[in-house]
Amino acid sequence: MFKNQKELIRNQIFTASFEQRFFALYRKIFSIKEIEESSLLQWVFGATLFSFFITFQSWIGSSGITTEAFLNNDYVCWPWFQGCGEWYFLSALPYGYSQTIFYMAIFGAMVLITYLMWRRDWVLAHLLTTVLFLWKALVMLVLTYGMAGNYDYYHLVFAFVLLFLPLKIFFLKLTLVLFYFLASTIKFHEGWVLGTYFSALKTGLPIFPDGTIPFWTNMVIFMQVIGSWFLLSSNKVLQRTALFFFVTFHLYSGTIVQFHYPAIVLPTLLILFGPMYTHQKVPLNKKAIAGWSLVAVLFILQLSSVVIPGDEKITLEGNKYGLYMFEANHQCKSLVSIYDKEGEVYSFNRESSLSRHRCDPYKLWFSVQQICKRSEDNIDHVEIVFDHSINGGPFYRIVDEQNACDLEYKALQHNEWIKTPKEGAEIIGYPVKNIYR
Amino acid sequence: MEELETSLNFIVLQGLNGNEPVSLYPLQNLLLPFASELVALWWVVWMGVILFLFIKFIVLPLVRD
Repeated sequence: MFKNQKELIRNQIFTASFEQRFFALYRKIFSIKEIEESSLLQWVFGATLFSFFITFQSWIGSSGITTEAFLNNDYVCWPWFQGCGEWYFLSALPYGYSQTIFYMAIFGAMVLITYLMWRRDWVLAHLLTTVLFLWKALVMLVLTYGMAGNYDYYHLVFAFVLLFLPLKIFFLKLTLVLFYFLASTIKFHEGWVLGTYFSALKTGLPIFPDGTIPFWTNMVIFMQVIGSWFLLSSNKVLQRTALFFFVTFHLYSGTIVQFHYPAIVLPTLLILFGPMYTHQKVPLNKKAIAGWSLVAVLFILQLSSVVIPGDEKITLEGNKYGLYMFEANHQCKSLVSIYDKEGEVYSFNRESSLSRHRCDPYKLWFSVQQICKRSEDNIDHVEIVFDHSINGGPFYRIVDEQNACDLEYKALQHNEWIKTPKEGAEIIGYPVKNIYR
Repeated sequence: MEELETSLNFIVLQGLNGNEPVSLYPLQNLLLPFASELVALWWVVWMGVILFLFIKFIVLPLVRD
């Protein structure tokens, strides 16, 4: 044991007593002993690192949080941090190298983490992975409203449990099951109960006949609400059946969503519930308080959109606070008319026919607010019109405002300027079938 | 498949030219009148699952101890 301890890289580099005390405390606070003693957690650590790789390989070329995005007003901040763009410091190609330099440093860190895992120095591997976690969390939750997908929520929470919570194995299993269970709530809607999400797509449902859509969509809801809990069962047949379903589900859904989502969820699913699975009792001791607090937070976030009055599928209010994958099939068009003080009018049309592109009035509002602020001296007023159709239903004129510069956006309440059909939003037409992208 | 009235005002966004109007399949038409009831039913089942799990795995063990 002593020899092994001596061979650890941190004990060779950081020999001062205060450094040793720091690492001992760090190891204790974040329950790293659990990782050192569990090959299952070590595999999850690898899967989590792989998910960071998947994330950053898509972010390295993204202009989402670059100075150019800020200058071109091509960014969106969260409602709670409206000045996010002023903090952007990277420049992506073809405008500059700083972003690629930054992410190649992150790539180097990921290679180093892999080496540290191989050398079994889980404290240093943990410390470096925490840096990756903090960067991802900062980007997703503070710096931009627009760069993260739902799969990133999964990854961020898995990483949080793995890195910081005690009773890591139990709460990793529980959060994965809970994600299926919580994500089912977004499907309690015509789009899934009738399956209009898919019948409104030109390509319909992959593999299965379109006439059977409601059968499959309701089966998915059933498995998410009830079947997912059997992943935690002590009954081997039930547990393996549930695992088989969800593995098949991810492979099947990959025919629509492609690699990113299954690449983040499937490895962790197989590691936690595959051959290494063992049934565990529900912990109800002091050590479990942090884990149960996280569970409570996940419930609150998921239900926040339900608490806000109005159909969040059409208003998108609170939609991104919880899981929202496949919440609705969207089509929208908007018109922004800028009236300057000389009486000239500049109009911009935007359209989206892609089912996955969330037609969020907040994004339009944010963009217009930047125009209003940046050209305050020249602009008289800005008119906005926003038409939205979900799941093949009618296009409703949900926003029709004469002076968008004066509008405020309330993050946790219904905004009166976003009209729902029940509030008298006018039907202006009907959609044709669209496409998934 | 039930065809929609051709007199409706269709909005064809860029890239969707030539696509057929959205319409419902027979099974969807059958379920349509009960859609809001089905949504309510799923919420009831969802809350029932929470209640069941909460009592079985949290309340009862705490009471037993």
